[in-house]
Amino acid sequence: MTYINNKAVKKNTFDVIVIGSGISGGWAAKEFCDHGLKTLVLERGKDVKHVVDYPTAMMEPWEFEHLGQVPKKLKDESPIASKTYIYKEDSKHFIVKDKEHPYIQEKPFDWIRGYQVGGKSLLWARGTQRWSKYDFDGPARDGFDVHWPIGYEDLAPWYSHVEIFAGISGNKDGLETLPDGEFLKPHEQTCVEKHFSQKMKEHYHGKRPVIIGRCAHLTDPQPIHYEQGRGQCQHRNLCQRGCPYGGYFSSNASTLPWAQRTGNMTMRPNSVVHSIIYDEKTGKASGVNVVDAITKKERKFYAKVIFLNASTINTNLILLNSKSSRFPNGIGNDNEQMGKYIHFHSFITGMSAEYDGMLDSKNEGTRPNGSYIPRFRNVKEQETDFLRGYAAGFSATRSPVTNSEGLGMELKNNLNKTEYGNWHVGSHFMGETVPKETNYVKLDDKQIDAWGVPLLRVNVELDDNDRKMAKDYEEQMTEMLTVAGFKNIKANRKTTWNPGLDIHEMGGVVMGNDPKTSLLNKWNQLHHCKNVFVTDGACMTSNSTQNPSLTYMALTARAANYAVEELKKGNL
Amino acid sequence: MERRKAIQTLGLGLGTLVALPAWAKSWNRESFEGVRFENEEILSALVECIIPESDTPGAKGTGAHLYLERMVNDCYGSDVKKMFLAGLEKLEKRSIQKHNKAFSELDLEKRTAVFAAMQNSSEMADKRFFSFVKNLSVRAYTHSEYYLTNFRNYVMAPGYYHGCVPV
Repeated sequence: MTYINNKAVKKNTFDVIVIGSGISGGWAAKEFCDHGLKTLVLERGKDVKHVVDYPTAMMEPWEFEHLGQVPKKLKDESPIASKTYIYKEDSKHFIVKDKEHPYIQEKPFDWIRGYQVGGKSLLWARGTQRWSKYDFDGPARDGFDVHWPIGYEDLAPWYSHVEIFAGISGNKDGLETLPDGEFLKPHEQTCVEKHFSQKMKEHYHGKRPVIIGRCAHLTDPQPIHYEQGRGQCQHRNLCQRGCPYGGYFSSNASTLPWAQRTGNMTMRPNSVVHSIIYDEKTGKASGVNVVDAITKKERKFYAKVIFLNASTINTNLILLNSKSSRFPNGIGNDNEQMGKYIHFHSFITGMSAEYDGMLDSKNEGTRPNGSYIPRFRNVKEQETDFLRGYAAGFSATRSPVTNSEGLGMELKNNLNKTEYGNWHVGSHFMGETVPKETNYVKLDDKQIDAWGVPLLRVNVELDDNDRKMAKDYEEQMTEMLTVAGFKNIKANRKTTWNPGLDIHEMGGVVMGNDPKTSLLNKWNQLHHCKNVFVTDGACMTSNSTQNPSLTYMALTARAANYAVEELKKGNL
Repeated sequence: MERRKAIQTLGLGLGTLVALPAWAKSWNRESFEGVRFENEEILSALVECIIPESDTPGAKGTGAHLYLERMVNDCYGSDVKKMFLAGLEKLEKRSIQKHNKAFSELDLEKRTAVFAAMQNSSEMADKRFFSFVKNLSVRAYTHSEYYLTNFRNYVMAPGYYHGCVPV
């Protein structure tokens, strides 16, 4: 019997286990496999293979039964998921049904989940801006409870590492607040976006730059991208379906097939991780308990190193559920701070306007990107009655107007005309929220899900700082749009928006130097269990105003390479 | 019985309409049988008066009548289904009253006038029916292959983007 058990253990033993195959898990898998380590990737959802499992990718607009709208029955089964802009007829199969994955909202929180190989890397909005020193310094300057243990210089080489491989398009703008990266050629701003950039430069003397967005699209693919089997972005702007060209970065198109080709990766879909196994004798984690998503059969897998990339909230849940006599509150949770300090980006407002100038010009085609206004509030010092600041998206486009006046032949003639109206101007707000102990997730004491994992309880809300900040954005943007000569300027406050809908939830297992206040050290290791690493959104000490994925990728590559070195030294 | 069934299938599963108006008794159409698209005749007559066929296809030619029924069946709740059915009933009723013919048997001009009267009706439900049917028909027409490739320069994978070109 002992012999058989040993054999079974050996068969289920790897060098590394990566939990989750989304944007950060894909990076962990790639880095470990490139270093020759046998890597098991556990994904709780179904398999999604690049191209073959993108059922809607090549469908024409008129081929959708409901022309994009989701049938009522499906919406009723997913009242939360159907609130997100990404839940459409062409992409709904990549978002989980609320009914099958319940959780408890102590306060309204719209949790959007993509359970499949590749996770939400198939669905993300692909904005990729580096953090600057001002972002890492923020928590210490403004007296937050937990401060970053690393600075820009620690992450800069890893930003370069992931940018080159992923393919990031952008312009070298030379901004202190938004460091330049390794860019492919930028998208073009429209005439009116250029006009706006110029007006802002003149009026604010360079203090409010407006740049073309930086995004994970192959505008100018390099040999490293062709080697991944990816090609030029075709400007279809149908990214949420999965891209058959590999035109934007996803785990499915890039890191996972790359890791697969090394022969070192074992991908195991339908594997719900229940908890981490802690070995009291060695003082390390030895493996994970897995429940098969379909058969519900329990299995164990073992490894020297475990990476958590299950997405922010699920990473929190797995760790909190990993209880042992050494860690009765969850693995690594000696200070009982795990699950607290959940933070997010606030998208509670936006602007719209029109421009009746430059009517002899237009843009042609669609662009999977927009212009971008980096944070200009409270950057170097405190200027306002709220803490931190916001970034903003900005776009000005001009497409043919659909004129549906009249009835019969009059209507038909109106519809068949190609007429252009004013330029349409839009902006969205992306505010930094302050991490607070009172915004938390925790396990329910009694209720469990279909796989025996305790249900999530979530208690996260907006505060006055967020509302003051949104008001300031509306005022500042009104001024800026007015300066540019735009008309019909409107602030569009979203009164029904709940946290979570940003799909930028972060924190709960935050990085910091002090084990009394933080859970992870500067290498993303649990302070109290060094062979467990967290490199997804859960590790984020604060959220700043950049789209988070690029930073998750860089943190993951950095931590994985550190883990490889430590393994070589025999420290893990 | 067939007439009753026709109204019930028009009701798209509502099945609660018992009191049929007198005009409905003269109504007997094979085309209303079937599980889906059973209302093709009245709906195609309706969308055709919104965007008629000329030397180019209209709403019917681009499948707007099928879309309309599919949307009412799949994407809306019972309140919208009820409103939709009531609107269709009213169209039939007015056609019989004014012209002593079924809506789908009227010539295009008379049919359009009957439908247009819904927009100017004093009843909110009629106005709502008018914009609902018109909006979905416009949506179907403007999303059709014919429209997008002939009037909107649509290509699946353009491969280019120009930020600033002359109109």
